[in-house]
Amino acid sequence: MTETVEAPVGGGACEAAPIRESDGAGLSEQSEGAQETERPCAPAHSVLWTLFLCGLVPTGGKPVVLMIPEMVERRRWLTSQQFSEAIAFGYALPGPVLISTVVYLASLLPTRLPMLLCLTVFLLPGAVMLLGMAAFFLDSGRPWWVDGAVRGLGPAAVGMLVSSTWSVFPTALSARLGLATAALAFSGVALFKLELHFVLVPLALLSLFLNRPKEVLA
Amino acid sequence: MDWPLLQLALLFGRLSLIGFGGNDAILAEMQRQTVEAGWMTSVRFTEAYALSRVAPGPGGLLPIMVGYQAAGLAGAVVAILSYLGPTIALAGACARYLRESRDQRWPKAIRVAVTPISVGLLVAAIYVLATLVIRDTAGAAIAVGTVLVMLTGRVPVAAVPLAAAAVGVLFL
Repeated sequence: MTETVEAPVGGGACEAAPIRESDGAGLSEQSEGAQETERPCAPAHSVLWTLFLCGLVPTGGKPVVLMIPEMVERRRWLTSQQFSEAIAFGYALPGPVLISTVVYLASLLPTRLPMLLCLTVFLLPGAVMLLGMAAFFLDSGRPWWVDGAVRGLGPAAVGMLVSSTWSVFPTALSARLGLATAALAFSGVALFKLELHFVLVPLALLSLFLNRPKEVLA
Repeated sequence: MDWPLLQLALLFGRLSLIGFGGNDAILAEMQRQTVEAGWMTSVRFTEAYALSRVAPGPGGLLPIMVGYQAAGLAGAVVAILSYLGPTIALAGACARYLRESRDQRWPKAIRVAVTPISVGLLVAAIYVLATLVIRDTAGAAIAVGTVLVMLTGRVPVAAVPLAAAAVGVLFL
């Protein structure tokens, strides 16, 4: 991340992602008559370079730790509220959370770059690296030291999963019947070895019903 | 059925559409299907998962490794496109809707609703993987050490699996 800080420069206002005065006021709050202010486009090369770097630096599968300081704090392309919204959006949709998050972020970035281009630039370094790793580490004719390395990596992978689970556990407890729902999901998949969709669909519908927005509840 | 590319497309397309809570939440299901299809052993799958954490970028690129083992380069491409394609299409459509409506109630409600399920699935993944790879005191020590180091938050995340790999080379 050695590039100098660049303020978004001219070239006309972006149609995408106007800044609203309500941004930063909370997820569900939206002040009436929130005024939109136009902001100029960020240079395309800066956006692509930043995404490329965020996809290039190993972060244990969590490049958000780079994206927030770079996009929110340093370049100010997004507000922290918008970033939080993007992460909530990622969790609300099926599939890899970070992919949905980046798709949403790309729609908020002050640039006219196509979302698919942003995503490709972001994913390319990791994809190429993993392909190389697959060819080198997973082939049967690998060198002796690779066997030792992967024997160490296996338990570490378990530890990283425990750590990920620990970080989202409080949110699970905040849901209605959250602990019971988690226990049912675990039992269905790990103990009874049911197909995932047989576990997921009924539990998701039940949990969504229990945790529906208050306006719908009323 | 012996068409690995089609099998990969169907498997990862389905996982993409039902995988609430991210890549890790469907890890146990991905491992089961991958082993049943004969593309990888359970241990090799766990190794692939750990390697995917060392690589740069998001953790959701694991299908590249499964696809490569199943059908080479074409398998890797088919697996990752099948996995990311539905997510990108759905996220693109929903992002457009949300930007226009600014209604954040349902995304917030859905997040709260699916998180307990994600936690249950994550614990399932931990259970399945732990029974495969933690077979002695050294393995348990690496796992516990990883948890402790990760929870302190003072060490770069990518350094953790690299350190574990170094311990494996030197002592296991």
